[in-house]
Amino acid sequence: MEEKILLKYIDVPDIEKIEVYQKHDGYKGLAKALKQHKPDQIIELVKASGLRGRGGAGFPAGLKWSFVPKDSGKPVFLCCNADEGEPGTFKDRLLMEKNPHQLIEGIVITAYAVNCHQAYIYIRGEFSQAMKVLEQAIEEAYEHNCLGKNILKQGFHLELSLHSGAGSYIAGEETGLLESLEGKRAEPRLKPPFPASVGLFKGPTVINNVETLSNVPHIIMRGPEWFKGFGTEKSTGTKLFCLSGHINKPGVYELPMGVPLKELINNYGGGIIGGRKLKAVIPGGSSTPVLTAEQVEEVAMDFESLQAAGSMLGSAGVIVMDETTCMVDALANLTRFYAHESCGQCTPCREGVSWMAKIARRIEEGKGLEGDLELLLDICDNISFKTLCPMGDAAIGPVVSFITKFRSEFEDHIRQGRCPIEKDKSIKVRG
Amino acid sequence: MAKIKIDGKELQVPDGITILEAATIAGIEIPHFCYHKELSIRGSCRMCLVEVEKMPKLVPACSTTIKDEMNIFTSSERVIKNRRGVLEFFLINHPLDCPICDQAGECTLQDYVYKYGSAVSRFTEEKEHFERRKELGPHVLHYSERCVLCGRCIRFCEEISETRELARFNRSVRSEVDVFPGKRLDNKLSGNVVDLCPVGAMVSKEFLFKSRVWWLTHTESICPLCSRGCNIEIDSRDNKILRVRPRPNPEVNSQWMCDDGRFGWDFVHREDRLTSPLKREGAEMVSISWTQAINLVKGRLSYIISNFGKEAVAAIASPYLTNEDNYLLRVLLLSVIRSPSMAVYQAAQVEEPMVFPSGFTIEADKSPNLAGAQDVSAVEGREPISHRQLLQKVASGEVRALYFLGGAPRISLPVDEREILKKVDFLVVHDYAPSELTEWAELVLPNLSFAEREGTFTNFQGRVQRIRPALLPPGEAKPDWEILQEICQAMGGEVNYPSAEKVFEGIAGAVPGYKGLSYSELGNQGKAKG
Repeated sequence: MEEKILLKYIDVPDIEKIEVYQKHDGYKGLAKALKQHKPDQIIELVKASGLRGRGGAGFPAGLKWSFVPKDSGKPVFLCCNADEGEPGTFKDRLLMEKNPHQLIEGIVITAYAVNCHQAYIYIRGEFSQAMKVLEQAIEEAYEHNCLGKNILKQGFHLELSLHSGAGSYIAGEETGLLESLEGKRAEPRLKPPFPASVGLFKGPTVINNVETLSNVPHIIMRGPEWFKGFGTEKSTGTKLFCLSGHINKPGVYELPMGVPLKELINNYGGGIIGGRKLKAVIPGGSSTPVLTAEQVEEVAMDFESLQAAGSMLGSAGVIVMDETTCMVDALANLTRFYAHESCGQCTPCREGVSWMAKIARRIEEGKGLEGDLELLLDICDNISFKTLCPMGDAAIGPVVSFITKFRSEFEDHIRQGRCPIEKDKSIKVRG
Repeated sequence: MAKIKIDGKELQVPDGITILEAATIAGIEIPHFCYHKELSIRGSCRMCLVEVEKMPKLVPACSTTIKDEMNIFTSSERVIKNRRGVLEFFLINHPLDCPICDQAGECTLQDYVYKYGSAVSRFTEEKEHFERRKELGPHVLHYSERCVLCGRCIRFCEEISETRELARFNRSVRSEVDVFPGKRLDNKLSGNVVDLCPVGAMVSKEFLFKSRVWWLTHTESICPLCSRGCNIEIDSRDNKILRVRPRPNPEVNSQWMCDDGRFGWDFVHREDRLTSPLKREGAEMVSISWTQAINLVKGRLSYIISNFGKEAVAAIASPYLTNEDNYLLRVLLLSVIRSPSMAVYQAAQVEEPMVFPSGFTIEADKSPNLAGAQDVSAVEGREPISHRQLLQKVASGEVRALYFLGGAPRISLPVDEREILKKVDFLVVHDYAPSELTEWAELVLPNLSFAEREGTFTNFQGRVQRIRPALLPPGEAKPDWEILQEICQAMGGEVNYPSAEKVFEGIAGAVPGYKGLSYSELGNQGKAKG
């Protein structure tokens, strides 16, 4: 079994309690950070570790922190993005429910690095269990002087607030999150300015994913070189992979970056349900372009390899689809999700995504028209890189890749005027 | 300054401006919906995306700042494709009800589709449907299905009126603009959202289905309902005002006007407008000819002057009438009759000024020309007297004849003033309709409303602005200056102005501060007096 970082102590009973966490090296990274390092040194260490954002975009975390202006005269904020909402992704929830102090420790160190005294965890509203656990953990952290004034008697001060999300996918987009945190509709902001200079309440703001922040204490404790020992040259560390779909052992697996997808599915996920044939895999959450069974044979799970294969690591939500999956039906379902979640402020996303959803559903229902596929691809082109936030491109990711890679299946639907796939009736998909 | 290139055209532009502003300088139109120069930038309609050399994505022209050496393309293939795409997106769920839409003819969506859009629809799905028409407030109706969700109306209520009644509700294609639960769009600036709306989503209840806009005649004028003097356009048809909208004037009203002014012109079309001179005979008012009226004034004034002296004649100028009108009153009283008793009527202020956080203000003084009336009636070296002081002279019997210019859209005199008016031997009143002034007049001369005449108002800042006739006068009613000029002439005065414009030249020659001003100098934005 590979060495784990984030899930190492996941099965230790009561690890969510601060005393147990402390017994397992908990808050030692924080102590080291505060006692031995200046904030800038922390940034340098994290830069050197090669840690990249685990929320989807993979932006280098240390570099992001270094963008925070030192002399803006405004308070700096740190927001932990815990609005995990990408379909197929369920790793942050596990980290928060099982090991909340690891996240809190990461937050405190990061806040120290960017000179922030008020941090927020913006947590998805549906995560009631994680909220309960975090509330308790935050309270304990205050009691044990790991939060609040003069942390570990090192003079650093940080307040941490848990903020329940207001229930929409787009609140997970970083500027949508900021709007929501300010009490407004989660509508992404126009960039520039970027949050690092003008973010929450117009102050410089760092926004990091739960998994990203949870890595920080370990990097400080054990050093960047140790961290770089995991994964590939440009995708360092381990990654939490969320396996779901037609797979025998769905769940969250922590493995080094660069693990072959095939190995992930077969060795860890226990292979396809019922020994059926693999048809396709969405590798990084629902918005990342789908891979065919042939591509799955070759691709490795890191930022560069997936990009080379025309997809993305994204949030590493691996959705496995076997031969009983109708790709048109699956696409209709995915576009329906995006059509429902578009915030509606910018035109191409608001109108285009709903239009695509209607067409996809119509094709699945056997009412496809000649030219529908060209129309879908042209709508994608009219959305691609033209929306206010990345959601437009998230929504077209599946459309373009499904049609390009499974075109004959779409054409069969249109030609035959019905869905020709023999689906697994035990799986219910809302139409 | 930055050196940039737009569509091959090289030009120098100030640093820090946006591509959209630079294009405007270069005379290039970049179509847009959500951008409005008085509101914050949202960048959400995606209509204004342009191509910039070395930038991989198209960028919003409204929010992208110019950089030196920037090379911008506003009509490259990619830009044109995006515009067509965005317009198609707007239209797929749009009801295409232009034949019955108030905005048709002045609709940005219509114009852009005509210019940049496609003639064929690729949309075969069912359109989204919404409640057809919602009442948001006393003046504004909303058609959600026509809305392009540019958010200008919402930002106006957040940033200009700061009343925050509006928001976008629901998500995705179910998004719609509405008032917050329990709220109404009833702030005093609500009508501006109708002007801001680029399509027919926000419409005016008053104007709804009144006319196709291309049948309207547009007349530039000034709002007569407070001393701010918002620049307006009167839209009329068949000698009726159908709509009043603000004209931009950064010195006075930015782009806005208040609902009091926008919807408060109905007095112009009162059923009881006066159409001929009226003479009191017992309890009755009898219609007489202008010749009879002028002779009556001349006879009665001459009698009073010869029996009680010229000081027994007094006049009250009107802040509701133009400088030209009040100037002729001054000529009559001070130059022809040579009586010193002239004052300007000033209504007691009953309201506080309404100042919006954005700076826009509805003034407490509900007359458009108090400053101007005071300017033209002032006599150098003589302390002006108030109309109440002057009325005391009437009460004491010192004044026997009173020439009173009315013209207020609404007037309510204090009881003591009304009692005094009852006692005047000879009261002549100019007004456009029966009022508390005409009630006790021996002679009522019918004048014109602001919408039927030429002239100037001087606003509270001392800005002199022109009004222009949008309508024909009712019956035999005349502008006050013309009536007064005829009386001057009847009484031996040597005045002969052929037009209001010439009267203004007379003012420019005689009244301090107005020197050098002329109608052409005032243009359509007015000029501050000296």
